[in-house]
Amino acid sequence: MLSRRDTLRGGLALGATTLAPAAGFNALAAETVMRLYWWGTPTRTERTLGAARLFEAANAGVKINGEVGGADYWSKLTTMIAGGNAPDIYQLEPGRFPDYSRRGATRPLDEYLGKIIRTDRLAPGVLALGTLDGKVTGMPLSLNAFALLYHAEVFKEAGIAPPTAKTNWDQFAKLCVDLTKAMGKKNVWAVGNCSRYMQTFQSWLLQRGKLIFTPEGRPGFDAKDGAEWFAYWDALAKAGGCANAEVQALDKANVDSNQMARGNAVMTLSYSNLLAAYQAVAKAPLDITSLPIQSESTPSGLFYRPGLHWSIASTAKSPELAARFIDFFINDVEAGKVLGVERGAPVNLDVMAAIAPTIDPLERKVLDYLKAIEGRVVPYPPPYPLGTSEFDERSFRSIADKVAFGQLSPTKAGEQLLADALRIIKP
Amino acid sequence: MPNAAAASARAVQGDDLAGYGFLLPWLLGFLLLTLGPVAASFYLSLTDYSGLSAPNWVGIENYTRIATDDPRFITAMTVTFTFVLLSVPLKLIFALGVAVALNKGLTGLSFFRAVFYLPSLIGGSVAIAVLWRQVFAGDGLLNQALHTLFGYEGPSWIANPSTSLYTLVLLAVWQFGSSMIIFLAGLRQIPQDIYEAASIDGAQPVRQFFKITLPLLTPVIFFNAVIQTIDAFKAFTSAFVISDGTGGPIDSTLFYTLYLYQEAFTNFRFGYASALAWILVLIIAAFTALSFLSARYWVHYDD
Repeated sequence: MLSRRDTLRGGLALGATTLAPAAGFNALAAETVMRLYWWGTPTRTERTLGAARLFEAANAGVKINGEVGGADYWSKLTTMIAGGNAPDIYQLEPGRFPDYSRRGATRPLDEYLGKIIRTDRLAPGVLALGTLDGKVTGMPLSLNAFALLYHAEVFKEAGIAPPTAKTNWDQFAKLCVDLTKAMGKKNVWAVGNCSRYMQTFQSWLLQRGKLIFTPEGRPGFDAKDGAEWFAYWDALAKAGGCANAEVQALDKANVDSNQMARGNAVMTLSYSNLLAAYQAVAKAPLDITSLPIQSESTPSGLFYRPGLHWSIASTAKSPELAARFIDFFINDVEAGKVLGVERGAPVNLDVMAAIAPTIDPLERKVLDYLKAIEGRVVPYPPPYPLGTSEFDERSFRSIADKVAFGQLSPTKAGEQLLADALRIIKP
Repeated sequence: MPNAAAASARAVQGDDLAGYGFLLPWLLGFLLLTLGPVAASFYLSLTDYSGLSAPNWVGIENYTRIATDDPRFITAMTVTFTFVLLSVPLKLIFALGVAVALNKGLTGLSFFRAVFYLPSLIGGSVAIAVLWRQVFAGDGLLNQALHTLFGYEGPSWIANPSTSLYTLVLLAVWQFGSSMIIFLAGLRQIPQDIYEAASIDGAQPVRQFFKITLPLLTPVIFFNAVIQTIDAFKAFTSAFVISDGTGGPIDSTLFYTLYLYQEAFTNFRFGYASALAWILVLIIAAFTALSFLSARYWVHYDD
C-alpha cells in the first residue's frame, strides 16, 4: 500500500528530476536566440545561413535560427504574427511591405539608423526604398530592376536577333510570333503570357507617364489603360506568340511556376536578381536585357527597386540585437561576400566594390545590366497602398485568366480591373 | 441500515468523481481547444480583426456584407454546392456498387477490402493531391495515356476552369473506402432468408437489389450520406494543394473553406473569415436537419 509518506517522497523525487532540466534551460537562456524568416531558393538559404553563422561567430552567445518559407510564406507569416510568435526578423518585398508595415507588424528602424545600423556607405536613395509614411520600417537588402530574361541559344538556332534595350512592344510581339514559328515545338512559345504580372503592368504604365497607384492610394490608370494591356497580350496569344490560357493559368508569379521555368517559353519578364534562380533550372545559358519600350523618346518604365527588405517584428524581444544583425547583413564585407548578388546588387557601396572581383559571369551580367540602365531609370513609384497584394492575386491574375480563356473581352477586362481596384484598394 | 446507505452513497459519489477524473483530459481539450476557439471565433466575427492589429467591434457588418456585397462568396457557394451535390451521390453509388460486388463472396475479400480502402486512408493527404496534379496536368499521365491509346490531345484538366472542379470531384469519389466498409457491414446485416424467400418466389437479382437490399440498407445509406455531406462541405486540402491555395483557375475550385482561408490568412480579414465560418456551420446544420427531416419518408428502420 502506498502511504502518504511514499507519495510525498515520490513527489519530491519527481520534483527533483524536473528541476534538473530547468537548470539546463537556464544555462541555455544565457544564449540569445533570434528567429530569422525568409523565402527563396536553396541557394538563398545556404547564403543567408552562411551570413548568420558569421554573425554568430562575431557575437558570442547569439544563436540565429533560420526558417525558410515556400509558397505558404505569407499565410505562415500572418499566422505567426497573429498568434503572437512572429519571427524577430523577417523578409518582405515591395509589393507586401506596406501590407505588414501599415498594420503595425514591423518596428520602425529610425532610432537605430546611423547608430547601430550604419548608413554612411549605403548607395544614394536606398533608405527611401524602405520608407513608409515617413518611417524606415524595412531595410532594403539589395537593388534590382525589371528585366527581360531569355534563352540565348534559341535565338542563335532560329537565326533571329534577340530583343535589345531598343526593342519596342510592337517589334517584340512580331519577334515572339516569328520565334515561336521558328522553334516549331508543341507547347513552347517565345514568351509566357505576362498579362497576369501586375508589376509588369506597372512598368507599362510608367512608360506612359502614369502610376499604377497614386501617392494617395488611388488607381493611377483608367479602364482604357487596362484594356490596352490585356488587348496586347490577348492579340499576342491569338497570333501564337505567347503561351496559351492553360499554361499561363498555372503561373503563380514565382520562379517555380513561371512559364519559362516550366519549359513552356524561352523568354520571361522578371527581376534582374532572379537570373541566377532561373539559370539554376534552365538547361541552356540565359541572358538579360531590359523590358520592351514604348519608343526611344518615352520613359523606360524601369526603376531601381529594393529586392527585398528585412523588417524587425514589432514584438521582437531584443530589437537592438536584430538591428545589429541587419547592420552586419548589409554592411559587413565578409557577409557580403557570402551573400553575393543573390538578392540583387548589394546596397553598401564598399561591399559592392569588394565583391565585384569575386562574382561569377552570370552575376556579372546582372550587375552590368543594372549599370547599363542607369541613365534611363525613372523615380521609384509611391509605395503600394493597403490591399495591393489582394488586388494582385484575386483581381489582376483572375482577370488575366478570364481574358486568356475568352470569358472576358479586353475592354470589359479594363473596366473590371478599375472597378476592382476602386473596391479593394484602401487609400 | 443508515450507515450502509451512506457508505454506498459515498461510493457512488466517489465513482462520479472518478468518472469525471477520467473524463478530464477530454473535457479540458474540449473546453480549451474546441469550445474556447469556437466562442472566440463568434466574437471575432463581430469585429474587424486583421490578425495583426487589435479587433474593433463592428456588429453584424461582416454578415451583412457577406449577404449583400460579396461576389466571391457567391462563387464559393456555387463551387462548394456543385462539389457536394456531385461528389456525395457519386461516391455513395460507387461505394455501394463495390460493396455489393465484394459481398458476393469473392475469394480474398479481406485483401480487396483493404485495397479499396487504401485511397481513403491516404486520399486526404497532401501527397495524393500532388499526385493528382501530376496525373491531370497538361502533360500529365492521363493525357499521355489518352494520346497513346486514342491519339487524343487532352486539355490541362487542372488548369482549365471548365474541368478543374471535376478532377476534384473525381479525387473525392476515389476515396470511397470508408463508405464502402460501412455499406459492407450493412449488407452483412441483411438476413439471408429474405433473399432465399425472394428467389423461391422467382425474383431476379436486380429486383432483389431494389426491393430488398436498398430498402433494408436505407439506415446505412442515410448515415453515409450525412457524414459524407458534412465532409464534402468541409473539403479543403485537395483544392488548396491542386490550385496552390488560389482556388483557381478563375476561382473554379474556390471551395468555401479555401475562400475562408484566403480571407483570413492572405487578405488579413480574420473577423470576416470568422463570420464566413459561422455561416458554413449554419449551412451544414441546415443540411443535416433537412436530411433528418426527410429521413422519416425514406429511411426504413428495422423496428
